[in-house]
Amino acid sequence: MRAPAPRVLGVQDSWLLMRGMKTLLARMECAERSARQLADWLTRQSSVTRVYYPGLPDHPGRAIHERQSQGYGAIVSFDVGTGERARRVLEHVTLPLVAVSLGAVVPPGQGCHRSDSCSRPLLCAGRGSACLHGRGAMASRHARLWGERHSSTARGLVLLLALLGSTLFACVGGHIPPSMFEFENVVPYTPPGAGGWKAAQVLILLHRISPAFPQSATCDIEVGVPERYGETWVLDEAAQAAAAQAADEAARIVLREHLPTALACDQFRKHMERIMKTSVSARIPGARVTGFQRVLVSRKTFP
Amino acid sequence: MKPEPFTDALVRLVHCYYPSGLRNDDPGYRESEESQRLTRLILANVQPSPTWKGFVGRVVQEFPGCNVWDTTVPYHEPCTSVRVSLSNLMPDDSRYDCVVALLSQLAPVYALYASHTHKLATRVDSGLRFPPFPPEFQAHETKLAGLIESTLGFTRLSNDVLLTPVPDLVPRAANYGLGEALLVDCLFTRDRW
Repeated sequence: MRAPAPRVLGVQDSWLLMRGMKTLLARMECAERSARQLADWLTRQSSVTRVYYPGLPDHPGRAIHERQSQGYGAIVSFDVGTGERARRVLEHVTLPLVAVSLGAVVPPGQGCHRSDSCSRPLLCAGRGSACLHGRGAMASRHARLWGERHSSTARGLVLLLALLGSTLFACVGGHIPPSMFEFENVVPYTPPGAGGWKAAQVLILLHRISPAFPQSATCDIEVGVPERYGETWVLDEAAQAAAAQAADEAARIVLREHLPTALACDQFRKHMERIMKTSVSARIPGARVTGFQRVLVSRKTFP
Repeated sequence: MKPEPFTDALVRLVHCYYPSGLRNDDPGYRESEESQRLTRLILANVQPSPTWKGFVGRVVQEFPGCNVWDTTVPYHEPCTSVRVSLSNLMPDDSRYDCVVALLSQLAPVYALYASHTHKLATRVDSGLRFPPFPPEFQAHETKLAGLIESTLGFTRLSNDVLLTPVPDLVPRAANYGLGEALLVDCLFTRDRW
């Protein structure tokens, strides 16, 4: 097929595409939010002479961009004035060298590929976007930038936003594997009307990896979901994926807010519960996120 | 609906089950006399009582064609709850409107609220209302209130009572700090959706 029609994707490319599409929307939205924050932050830095991002009010191409596109994308470039200063910026950028793809959301036992994040004890998510903990897993050292472009005019520092975000912001976009949430039945489903209940307990260490914000918080997270609502059974796999997705998103929100440790856990639970209840893609009516209530299920620790 | 002295009595009552001045993750919260008392009560009510089962069965009978969902979460709060959808809506329909009844295990009192969820292409709109309910919820409200009072003999609490601040208490399953709790959180649950 590929010989007469060479524009057909190869097997590996197709697999990567199919895998990545599952989380593309969530990743793109996060990346764009981060890009906007990063661009705003860069505009406030005295050492940055110009920031190029179509979402900025003074960007010369903003009107054209808005006619042609939805959203502003996730690529930011900026000018630090001289080539020497650009080189110094690059020398001080630290990034994870060993990283895995964020594309996969694969419950345990469902076609986990060896390059998927579920296939190894991951502490950090890939492509530099962030960590929920595990600085030790970040082989950080001087810049080796994925997608970098470094020009002598010093305009040349174009980065995939997530890379820079992890460096400058300790932006979190990490990944708690779905397998962390091991749901066990607490109350059996008994018709009619009774939804049953199952729960998972995880001790999660949120850790901001930026040296500027070395805060950490250990949060006890109990996620409860009904066994069934309406005519729908809540499968363990669906609950795991929803919980992991919500935990990632909640962590990103909480760690950006610079909250004291005690409040961070409360906020983490609140956001996680809200996301599980209102997510368009993985909503679980009745989901609840609290601190540990009782030792009813086996507890796991992340990382 | 009961007057002001009733509110004071309920505030005193919840102080018997939640330790004053402590967050629920503070050392000593779980070990406090009040929390231990609540634990005993909650454990005694883990298994649904025949009365509750009978009540839910009545609700199913009285609301034919509606989705009735017993949303009680054992081990969490001193509260049982049931959701009755308008018409035959299901929780996973794009639109899910229902009347929710919360029944306390601390005292024979109950609360009703209207819950609205509308799943759109890119977001989920949701909200809840204590009385007065929107017109389309009122028939369910009247019928469910009548059923609770005739079957269980519970007393319905007014908004004023439910929304009374109890700033020195933190319910055990709430993601709250001090100063956030209301009487409805302590008597029933903070998880209203």
